Amino acid sequence: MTTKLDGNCLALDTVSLSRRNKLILDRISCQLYPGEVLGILGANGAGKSTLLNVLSGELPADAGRVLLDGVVIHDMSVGELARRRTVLPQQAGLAFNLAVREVVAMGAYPFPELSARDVASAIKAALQCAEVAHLAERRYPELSGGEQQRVQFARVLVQALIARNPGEARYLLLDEPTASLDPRHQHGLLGAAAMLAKQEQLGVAVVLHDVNLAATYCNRIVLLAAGQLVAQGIPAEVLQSGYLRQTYQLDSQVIAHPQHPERPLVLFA
Amino acid sequence: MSGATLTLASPGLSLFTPLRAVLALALVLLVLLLLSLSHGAVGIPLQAMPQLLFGDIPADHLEMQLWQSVLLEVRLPRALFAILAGGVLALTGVLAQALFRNPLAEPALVGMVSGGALGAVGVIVLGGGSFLLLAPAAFIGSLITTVCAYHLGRRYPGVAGLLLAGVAINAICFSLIGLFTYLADDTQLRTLTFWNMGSLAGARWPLLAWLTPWLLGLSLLALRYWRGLNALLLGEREALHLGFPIKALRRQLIVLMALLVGPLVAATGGIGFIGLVVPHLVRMVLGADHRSLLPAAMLGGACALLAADWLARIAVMPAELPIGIVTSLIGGPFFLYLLLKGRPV
Repeated sequence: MTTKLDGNCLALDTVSLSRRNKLILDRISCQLYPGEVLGILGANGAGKSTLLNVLSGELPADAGRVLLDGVVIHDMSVGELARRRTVLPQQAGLAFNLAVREVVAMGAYPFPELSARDVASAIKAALQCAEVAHLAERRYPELSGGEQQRVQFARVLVQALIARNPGEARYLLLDEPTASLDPRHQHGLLGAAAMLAKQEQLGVAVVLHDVNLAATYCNRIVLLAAGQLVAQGIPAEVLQSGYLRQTYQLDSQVIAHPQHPERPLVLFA
Repeated sequence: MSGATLTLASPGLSLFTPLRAVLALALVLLVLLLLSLSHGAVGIPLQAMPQLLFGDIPADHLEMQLWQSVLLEVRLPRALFAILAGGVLALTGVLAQALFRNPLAEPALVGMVSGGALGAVGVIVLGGGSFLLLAPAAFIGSLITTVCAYHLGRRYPGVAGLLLAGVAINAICFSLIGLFTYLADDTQLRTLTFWNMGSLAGARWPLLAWLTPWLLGLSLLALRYWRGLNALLLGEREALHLGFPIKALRRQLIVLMALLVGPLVAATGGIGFIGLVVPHLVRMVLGADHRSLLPAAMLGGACALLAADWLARIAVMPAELPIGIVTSLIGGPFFLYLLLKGRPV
C-alpha cells in the first residue's frame, strides 16, 4: 500500500527520536486522516506521549519529517499551527482562580479576529459537547479531577472546531483523555470525539490504555512497543493475541463482541 | 465550611462584574486622591481645591498662597507619583505571578527590586547620580535578577524554588548594596538610605514628566498581553499549543517587567508587597482572567499605595514614616497569612 503524504493528513514520515542515547521512537511512519479516530496504544514508556508530542510539532524529531497537509510542520509558525491542530495534554494543572468559561474561551485565542458572538456560540457548543455546560460559571480549581479533564476537553473542542472553513482539515491530539474519567464519561468523551471526527472532518489521534475502549471508538489503531511500531490498521486486524503480547508482554484472548460481532473484545489473562 | 465559601464566592462574582469593579476602584481612587491632597501637616480645605488648582489666588491671601504651593509643589506630584508607582507595582506583580505560574511571586520577593536598587546604588557610588544614568542601571539590575530568579526558581517545584531563589538573590544584592554603602561618602550615604525604606519623597514634576509616559506606555503594552498571560496560567506547553511562541513570550515579559520595575525602583526605592497583596485581593473578587485583572490590579495598586502614603504622612505628623515600612507592615502579615492558608488564588 502506498501512502500519499502530500494529501490532507497529519503524517509522521520515518521519524526517529532519542534521548540520552536511548531510542524513544524508531523509524515510525503513520498517518492521521481527517474524519478518523486513530488510537495510539502501548505499554508505559513505549513512546506514546512522545509520538503525540512529535505529531503536534512540539518536539523536533532527530530524523524524519512531520507533515501537516503536505507542509513540513516546523516550517509553520506556532500561531499558524494552533489554528490547524489542537492538543490536550495529560492532566493540566491550574492553581489560579479562573472560571470554567474563561478556561474554555482560551480555545479561541488562536483566532483573535473572531467576534465575541462567534466565540460565545462556539464555547456554548463545546460546553454541551463535553457535558460541562452546568459547570460553566464554576471556578476551575474547585472542580474534581474528572470535571477538570472534561473542561479541558471543551477547551480543545473550541480550538478544533471554531471558524473552520469547509474542506479545511483540522487535527485533534488527545493524550490519555480518559485517565481520570468514570466509565460513563469515558464513553461520553470518546463518543463525542468520534462523532465530531465524522461530522467535522476532524482527524483525532488519541492515546489510550483501555484496549476495548479503543476497539469501540477508533477507526484505526497503532500499537507501539519500545519505540517501534508493532502494528497499525483497523481494530480487527491489530487487536490479535500475538501483537498484544508483543505490546504489553501479556497473554490475551480475543473474542467477537457479543453485541457487535465485527468488533474484537480483548480479555487479558 | 467549604460550602459556605462557595456560596459566598458565587454571588460575589455577579455583584462585581469587571466593569463595575473597575468603575468602583476608579471612584475609590478619586476619593483617596482628594483626601490625600487635603490632609497632612498643613490642612487644605476641600472646597478651596478648585480655586487652588485652576483659579487665581489673591496676592494678599497668604494662607491660600501657602496652600497652593503645598498643593502644587508637594502634594499633587506626590499623590500622582503614588498612583503611578502603585499601579505599576501591582501590574508587575500580576505579570510575575503569571510568568512564574505562582500566585506568590512578587517583584521584591524574587529579587527584581533589590536588583534594581543594586544597579542604582552602584551608579551613585561609582559614578554620577543623574536619574538618566540611574534608570538604565536599575533596569539592567532587575533584568539580571529576574532572569536568575526565573531559571533558579524552576529547579524546584512549587513555591519553594521561587522563594529559595528569591532569598539567595536578595542576599547577594543586599550584601553588594551594603558593600557600596560602606564605600560611599556622607552625601552619597544620605541618598542611599532611602533605598532600604522606599520613599515617594522624590516626587517632582520633572521626574514625573519623564517617568509617567514611560510607565504608562509600557503598562498599556502589558495590557495587550492578557491572552498570553491567561494561556500561561494553564501551562507553558498549553500556551505553546494555543499558538503563543513561549520562549519569545517569556523573554518579552521578563524585559517588560524589568523596564517597568527598574526605573521605578530608581525613583522610589524598594516598596514591597503591593505587587503581592493587591493582585491577590483582586483575584479573590474578580477571578484570574487577565483581561480584567490587569486594569483592576493597576487601579487597586494605585489606591493601595496612595492610601499607604497618606497613612505614612499622617501617622506621626509632622514627621512621616518611610512608605516602604507601611506597605511591609501590612503586606508582611498578609503574605504570612497566605502561606499559612496555602490557598491557591
